[in-house]
Amino acid sequence: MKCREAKETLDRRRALASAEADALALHLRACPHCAAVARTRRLTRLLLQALAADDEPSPYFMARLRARLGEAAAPPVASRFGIRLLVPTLASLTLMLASGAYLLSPPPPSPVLSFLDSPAGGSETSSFLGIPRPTHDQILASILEAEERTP
Amino acid sequence: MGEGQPDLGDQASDGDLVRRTLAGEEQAFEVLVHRYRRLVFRVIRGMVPGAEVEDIGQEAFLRAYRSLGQVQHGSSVGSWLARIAVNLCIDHLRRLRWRQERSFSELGSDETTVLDRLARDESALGEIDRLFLRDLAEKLLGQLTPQDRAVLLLKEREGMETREVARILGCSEMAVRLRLFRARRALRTLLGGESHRGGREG
Repeated sequence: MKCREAKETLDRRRALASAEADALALHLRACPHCAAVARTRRLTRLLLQALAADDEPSPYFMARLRARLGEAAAPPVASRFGIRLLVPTLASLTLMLASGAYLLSPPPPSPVLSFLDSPAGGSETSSFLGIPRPTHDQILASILEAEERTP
Repeated sequence: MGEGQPDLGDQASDGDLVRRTLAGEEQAFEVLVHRYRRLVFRVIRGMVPGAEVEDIGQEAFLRAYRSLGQVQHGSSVGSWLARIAVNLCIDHLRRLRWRQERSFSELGSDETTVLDRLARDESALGEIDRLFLRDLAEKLLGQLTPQDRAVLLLKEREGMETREVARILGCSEMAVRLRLFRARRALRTLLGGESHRGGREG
């Protein structure tokens, strides 16, 4: 078994035939790199399992949610007098919140992150000076390939 | 949840429950909450520290209730709820990260011992103090970007396909592969299993 095959086999570890599992175990004994990869994946899985071990909400969760759902469904009530007071108050609050949000807002994400998060686009072929422009996925694939090769 | 599930028949399809909720039958939504609460809480617990989990869970289901009309016919309600939960967690972690620069201290000898023990024998998981293990997991996974952590959680813990993870995170499948690679590489360095032959995590 080669390293690439070993990693693909690790990805399918939930459904391995016994012959595959034996070949993988043999490779892991002989290859320290793949053994380290396997160790990381096993530990990652166990750590995630430890984090999400208790997957039940608290006993009060549903009662609280019911109350909030009731509030969400209730129509807003405001008297005329209330509205007269409410409009300037809300305007001041909006101004204060907008200023606060501007001052406290985190910096915008870097262009690389935004690109990574954008949905798969660019499937249509476009070109610049006759040279075909790479698609979104082609660019990400080349980044992945470059990072895989980087020591 | 500690309270009985509304008696609407657990056999009802998700689509039917969505339609009934939209028609004003609030109990139908409670059946959906009951059906997917564990998935939503596993996702949230895998993403954010304990104290915030319950509030984010509330917010996730409240948002789901308010925007239930957006669930597309035939699409998975579970994936849609996971998407809401993941996005809330990512927003929460972004705020945390920005407010307090996270620092990573090297693993202590007791932490390394536990990791070595787990790497050798998975069944030791049940014997290790849960709080200690949670803190250790949070210390390590907290070093990842929120999006990388989400990819890792959905792929490794929930066993989702790359396509489904991409749908949940609203990005391309290639972006999921790249994020998974980066998350695994970062964790390998943190866990002390650095490669002898460069960084090919795969």
